[in-house]
Amino acid sequence: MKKGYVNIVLHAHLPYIRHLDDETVFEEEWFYEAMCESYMPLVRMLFKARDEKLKFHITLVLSPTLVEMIKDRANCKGFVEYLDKHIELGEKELKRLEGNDEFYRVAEDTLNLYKAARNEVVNKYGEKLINALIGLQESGYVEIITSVAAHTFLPIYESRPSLVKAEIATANSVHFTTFKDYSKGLWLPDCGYYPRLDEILKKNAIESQYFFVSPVSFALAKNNIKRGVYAPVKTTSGMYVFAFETSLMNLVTSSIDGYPGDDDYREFYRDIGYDLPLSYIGEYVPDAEKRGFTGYKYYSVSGKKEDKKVYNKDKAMAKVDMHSSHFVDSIEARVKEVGPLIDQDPVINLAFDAELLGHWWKEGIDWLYSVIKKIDANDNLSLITSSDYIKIYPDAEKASLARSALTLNTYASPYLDGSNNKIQRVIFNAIDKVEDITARYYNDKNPVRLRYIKQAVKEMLLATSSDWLQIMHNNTSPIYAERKIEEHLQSINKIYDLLSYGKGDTSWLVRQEKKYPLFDAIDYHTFTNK
Amino acid sequence: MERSTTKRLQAFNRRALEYLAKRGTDDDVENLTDEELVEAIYDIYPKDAILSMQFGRNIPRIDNEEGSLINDVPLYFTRTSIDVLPIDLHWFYVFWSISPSQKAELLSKDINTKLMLRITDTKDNSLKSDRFILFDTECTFEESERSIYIEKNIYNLTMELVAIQKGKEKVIAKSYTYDFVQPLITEKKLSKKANTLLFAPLLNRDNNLVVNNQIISEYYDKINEDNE
Repeated sequence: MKKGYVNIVLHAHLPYIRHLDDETVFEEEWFYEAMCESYMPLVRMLFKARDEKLKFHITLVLSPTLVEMIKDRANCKGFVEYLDKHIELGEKELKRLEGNDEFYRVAEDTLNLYKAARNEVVNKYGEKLINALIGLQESGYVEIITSVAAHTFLPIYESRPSLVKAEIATANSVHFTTFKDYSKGLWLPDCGYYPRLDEILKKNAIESQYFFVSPVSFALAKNNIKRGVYAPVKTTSGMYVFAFETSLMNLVTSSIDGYPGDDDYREFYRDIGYDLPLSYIGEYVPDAEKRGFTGYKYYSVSGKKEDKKVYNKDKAMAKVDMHSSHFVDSIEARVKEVGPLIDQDPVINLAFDAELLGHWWKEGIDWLYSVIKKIDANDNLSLITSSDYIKIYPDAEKASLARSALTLNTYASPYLDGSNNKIQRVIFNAIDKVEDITARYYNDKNPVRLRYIKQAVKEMLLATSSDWLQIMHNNTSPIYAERKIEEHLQSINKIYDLLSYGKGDTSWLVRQEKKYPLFDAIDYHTFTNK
Repeated sequence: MERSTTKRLQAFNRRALEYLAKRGTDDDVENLTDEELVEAIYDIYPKDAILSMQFGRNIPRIDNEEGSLINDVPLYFTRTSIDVLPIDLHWFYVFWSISPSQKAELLSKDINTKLMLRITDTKDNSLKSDRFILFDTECTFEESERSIYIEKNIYNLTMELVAIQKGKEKVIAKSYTYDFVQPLITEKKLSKKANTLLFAPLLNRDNNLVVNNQIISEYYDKINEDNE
């Protein structure tokens, strides 16, 4: 039997949210929840696997906006306050639940998660959370790669390559200034690909060798790809492209029968924030006057709302063992099926949102650890990164890939439905304005003017974040999303007016720069059609 | 009015208050004071709903309602242009604008000037091959966007905005050309092996395609037929 390589890619991303002085906005909680429940436990688990000398290599995508938020000391301070609040609630819960062993154990486990996070943030990393990720990169077990600066879904802006170039170049700069090395690969948001995008990636993502696409791009390629999705192809510009094995990914991500929906796993939506009196939980939810999640969840998925069973960790861990075995067996079966059909050891490419593991699916990180352990013990399988696979098999088939996105049926439909398509008119208009000023002042030396232009490019990148379109599509916080886009576009209008017709307003500029302390290394020269 | 809910509403900016008030009053909300807008919102929504209206969360949108905050971002910088965005295999969102000076010029020359959206394609994958008109569809000066359905599988799509004056056509804006690589399915007979290697990730546990994509379905069926 041929050896099968397993290329697991974890994609970590959050939109840039920073409202430290605005008490009416609570979206920073998204960051704190993901840090505490997903990113930090994931880092902890990967270091544990390293210490146990398990053989593994995994790819972690860190979007530039997430990296900037993790690097932000103010966010770190906010995170510690968040943890303190949750530890206080946990201690109250232990008192309340004394004598009720089943619930007590679950509360204690949750409390320990907050305590472990606090201890690491304050004592281990000195409130510099980014050090945890740098340490992971330096361990050699994890390849950290970047995405697009503001997580923009690039196919929408195919006709505006200036924006696409600036997104890629800025992402690359953020990665380099953070990790002191260029990213070896790139994650395209929602894997949105269009013909010849690779040429822009090649020119603007220094040293990046590879990116990922949906299997639809391979299935509908102009030429027949002989090794199918089980080996990368090479584009005419020389970039390697890996396609995901979506049917195996669905074992986890399917909303109908994915592993996380098993009865014995922890129920995400049943939280004491909705079960206990507001007078008790009020100070521990984002808005004291409204119910919300506290993180203390005592039930398993089992049954309907009224008949849910108390969460039992032992039962959940038994399912983790069962599901990780099933997953590894399924990968092995696929390797047995496709191995004889191609002339090299196949690679199975699998991607998961990092926030799924730990946050949405509490046991997800334990499941991944178990998968790593079982692959380590399996002679036929081996975990690998894209870079290492390319080193083993540098000769890839040439291919002209079709446009596609990870949302398989579509090129861009979640981003261009009736809830959000009208926004593109104003966004395109703003892109044209930013192109106009970057071209006009391309060789300008005036330092203040250059700050205005840099700010305009930054606001343009942030305005095109796919998160805002996704939020409008899902109708979760559409007003917030529109407000963010509006704010960025108004800033661009202001800068355009100031540069075209008026005098500067440096106090406004300073305020805006402080409000968005990210993408320092932005090079506005990339935002041109030159 | 309770202090907590009033405080919540006072945190909203003018546009947000107008947005919320517009949904339940026939009054011209632009002419209402902030206090009157708050009053109007109280008349429209129950207290619980107002409490859930912290900015950034849980203000539900009503489908197709007007009053998006984005409509308030001034466009100015208007040029004559047309932009097309592919949504899926067959649907395209197209929006255009005609500069005020061009519109005035067109109508001054001929008050009966007509406008048309022209959709063109090429006959194969090559961008250099001959372009032909897929179809024309009439539009008006008042319109500025359409969602267009194209049944045929296309290769290289371009849309044009065409002005027709006294029987003569003039292209006043042309979109970016989108390249839709199409597999050469008619030219090659693919093996069952290709079916496994390319389509296995697109099948569910029952071996049915999970992708609702006409080209993929045709392609997949053809390979199966070729190998029967």
